[in-house]
Amino acid sequence: MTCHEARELFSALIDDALGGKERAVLDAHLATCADCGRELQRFRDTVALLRAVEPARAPAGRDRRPGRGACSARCSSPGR
Amino acid sequence: MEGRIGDDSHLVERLRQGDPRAFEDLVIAYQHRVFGVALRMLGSRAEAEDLAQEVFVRVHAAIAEFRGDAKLSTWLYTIASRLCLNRLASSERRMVREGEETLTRLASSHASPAAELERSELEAALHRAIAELPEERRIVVVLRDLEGLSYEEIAAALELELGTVRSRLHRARMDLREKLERFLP
Repeated sequence: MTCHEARELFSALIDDALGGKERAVLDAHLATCADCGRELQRFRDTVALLRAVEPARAPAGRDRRPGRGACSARCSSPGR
Repeated sequence: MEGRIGDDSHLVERLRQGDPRAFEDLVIAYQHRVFGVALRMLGSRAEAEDLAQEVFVRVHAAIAEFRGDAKLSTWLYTIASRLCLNRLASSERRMVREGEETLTRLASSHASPAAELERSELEAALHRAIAELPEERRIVVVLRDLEGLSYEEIAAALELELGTVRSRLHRARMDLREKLERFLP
């Protein structure tokens, strides 16, 4: 496995979406390639940044039910 | 119940039975997620709000046809994603984008000037980097890393092969990894 081939699998590795054989070949490459190990860590750090993005919040006070213009008290209840 | 995407079977049953409070509960549970997807895709809070309204109008009209083959959340993400992509592909939208109102600028334009100053450099860079992704990659990374959908759910929502989801997600993350290099530890 080349470094390029290994790095193409990083995303699936992070999501635990690799098949057993793919995973084994990648693990074997990572065990011997420090550059790819460092690159994998940066890839993981990038995904961690994304997953830490603060969730967006819809503006309060709007009732999204069809045909409604004003919001009930329940619509502005605290969220996630 | 807001913020919880788990077992929606009781809510689905109430919706089907026409429980007048059920739709309100649905909106409360999902309004922020639907708005979030729209905001990341369209880059404008006003447009995102408009699109979220459209999503719930469509859901309201079609709830009786929801068969429950997919999760309620996946169905909502499907509608939201398609409406976003359709809007981005529309000729009207293309004209706007070719003008001065670029997605990049819109990505950080929703807060007041004072609030904008308080936003961290990292947050601004993240939003800008996401906004600059090609649409077909952006929707996948938004659904996966910001909304937490599985590959299978994304494939169902966007009608894509699993391999395509995996490939687009990887390309998006590679792009983001380069753009966010200076923020990595």
